[in-house]
Amino acid sequence: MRFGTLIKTLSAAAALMALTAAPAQTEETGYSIDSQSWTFTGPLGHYDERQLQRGLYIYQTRCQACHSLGLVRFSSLGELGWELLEGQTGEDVAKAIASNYEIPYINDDGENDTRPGVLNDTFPWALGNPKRATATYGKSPPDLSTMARSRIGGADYIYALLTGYDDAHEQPEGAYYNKVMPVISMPNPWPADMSDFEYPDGTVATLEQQARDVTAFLNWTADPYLEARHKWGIVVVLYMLALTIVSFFAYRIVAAQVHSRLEAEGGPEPDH
Amino acid sequence: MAGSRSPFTNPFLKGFDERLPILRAVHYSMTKHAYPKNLNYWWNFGSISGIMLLVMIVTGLFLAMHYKPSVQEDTYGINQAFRSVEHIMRDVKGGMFLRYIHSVGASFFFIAVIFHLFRSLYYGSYKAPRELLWILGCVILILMMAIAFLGYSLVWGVMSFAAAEVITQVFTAIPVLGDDILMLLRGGEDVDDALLNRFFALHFLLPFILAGVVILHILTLQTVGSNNPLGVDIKSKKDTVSFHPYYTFKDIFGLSVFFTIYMAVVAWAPERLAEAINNQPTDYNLPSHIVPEWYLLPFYAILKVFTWDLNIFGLVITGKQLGALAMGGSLGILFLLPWLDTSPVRSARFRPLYRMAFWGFVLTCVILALVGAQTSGEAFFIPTPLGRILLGFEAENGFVWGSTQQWGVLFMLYYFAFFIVLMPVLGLFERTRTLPASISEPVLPSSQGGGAVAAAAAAAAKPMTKAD
Repeated sequence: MRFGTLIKTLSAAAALMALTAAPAQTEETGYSIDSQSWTFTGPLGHYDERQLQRGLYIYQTRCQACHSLGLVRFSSLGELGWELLEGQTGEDVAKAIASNYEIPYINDDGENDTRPGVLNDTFPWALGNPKRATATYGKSPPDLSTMARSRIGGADYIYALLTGYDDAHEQPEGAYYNKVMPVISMPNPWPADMSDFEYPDGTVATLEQQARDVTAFLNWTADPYLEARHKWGIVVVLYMLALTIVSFFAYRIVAAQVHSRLEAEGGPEPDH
Repeated sequence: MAGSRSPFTNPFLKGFDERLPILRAVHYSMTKHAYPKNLNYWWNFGSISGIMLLVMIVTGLFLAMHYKPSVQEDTYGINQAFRSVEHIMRDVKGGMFLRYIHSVGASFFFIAVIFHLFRSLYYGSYKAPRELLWILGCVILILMMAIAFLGYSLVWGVMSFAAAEVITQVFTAIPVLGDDILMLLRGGEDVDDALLNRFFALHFLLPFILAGVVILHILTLQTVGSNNPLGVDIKSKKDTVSFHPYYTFKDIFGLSVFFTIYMAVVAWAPERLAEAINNQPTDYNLPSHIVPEWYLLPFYAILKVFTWDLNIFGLVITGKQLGALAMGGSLGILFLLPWLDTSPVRSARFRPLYRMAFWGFVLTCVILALVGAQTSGEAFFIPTPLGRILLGFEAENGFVWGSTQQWGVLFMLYYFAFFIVLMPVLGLFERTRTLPASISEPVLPSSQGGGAVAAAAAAAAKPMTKAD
């Protein structure tokens, strides 16, 4: 059990930890989820800001009628790398987006009312609250803020689900068919004809493109500081590697000195 | 243990130490106390564990400043506890790092402690005179498991709720008192606000009690001394070295390697070791597949492996009670280990049969972890990397053989047999290799083969060496 054995055991342990990295499979069907290539995976993974902007657009068009982003503040949208006009800041863009939303509140007369959203607000829920959502749809559509972190497979899972609909399949009333989850209560978000749908920036809006963009956006809402963490990781791990190398040689030098002293005079007297 | 006179010349240190002789105790243990000179890298994990406890306490303290233990839901159906954790990740400066260093840190704390524990098992560090040291270590392990479980519940996600529900239920297996204990743990009938608040209080308190036990563990170590890879006692000053500078530098190196890996996981895979579904606030429904964190999996496997009731002349012990009993027993038996092992030889280097039994035990823990992770009553799935290690061949997507039930029972039996049968019996019948006379005598050739020539050379040089 020398250093070599330690290294061998550690790599065996690492292999065991990699067990969980086996291709993600859905529980019910065993359908295995293909891994996609994303800009945000890998050691230097980062978000494509244009893609996030498109993803936000798809969320607003196809998701937000049912799903909320209750943990995402409008202020965070300022960081999406908007093309700015003269004198405009990202915060101004975020403010403009926020003001398009109606936020429920109780006014000075004590009545239920709405006001335009401000930076500190989170994306409101069109369905209002879980009880109303359940009463309307039978099942409350989940909040999407952390969705990309809360499914095995993460972004790959969401992409597979969004592209997995097949309306040709017969299904009971109120249920839909999806390759990932054969009986799903979420309706197909894609209209049969999307030929006249286009992105504001002119990107060709195929179904796959839209699914990919909104998935990237949802990954951002779940993990907005991924880039900061990756950059931090590079610095910290390089620092730790340097420390490892320095401390290894320091240890070897100390060990040699201690060894020759032990040869000559021995160590401390044991307490008997 | 400390000398009667202060070793310091600096007037401040000297003055302080003469009034509170705590500095001379540290000074003594670092420079004058005799440590075996042959401790290998497996001995690094003790100090790594201590540092991890500090990391957890410091990050946990700052997390507690922002966490809100409340199950109250907002209009999104998100509870306040879950929201406050996300608030830490999104709005608190540096909060994401704090939170991930803490949550990944729990896993790495366990990794360090597990290596430390198995090292102790391999080299027989639990044998006389280190029984109390080992028992304090067992107390530390159980406290850690409790603290980790409590902390996991605080997120109040889907799996937090399931964990709180299932684990508190285990206590109802206790006859007569079970329901009262359940009430005491939950603070009411249901898994609700009262439970979350007391879990938070306990999650804050217990780490300090743990730190107290760690101090006792270290004080005991200072008294009985470290074991070493040969397992023979220190005989003279030829066998010893002071902790500083030799082991300080060795520990810094080991700590650097460990933290490099730890920090890489924080940066690139902070959620890899956790259950994804717990990133969704609970809706108070149990998920279809309930799994604890990875470090609790072997014990969870033992808990759920009993699906039948036991009827002893009309006295029925339910499967649930058997499971709870077996899980309690699997931890409780660790306390008896120093008296179950009858062999006078400590180190597995000189115990060829025990060494095999030991690796069998390591494998058992891995298999039980897999059983714990899989749905009970279904086919047992061996993932490809493990299949490659165990069976020497690959299958496309892992392969299936037998049921989780069968594997669970089989390896649970080995788990207990290792302690109850192998430990006492091997000690009586095993032919051990001849021990070196002392640490500084020429060391026997490494057990890892590769040394027929070295063995012959050593045998020529010394009449001792191998007996087999």
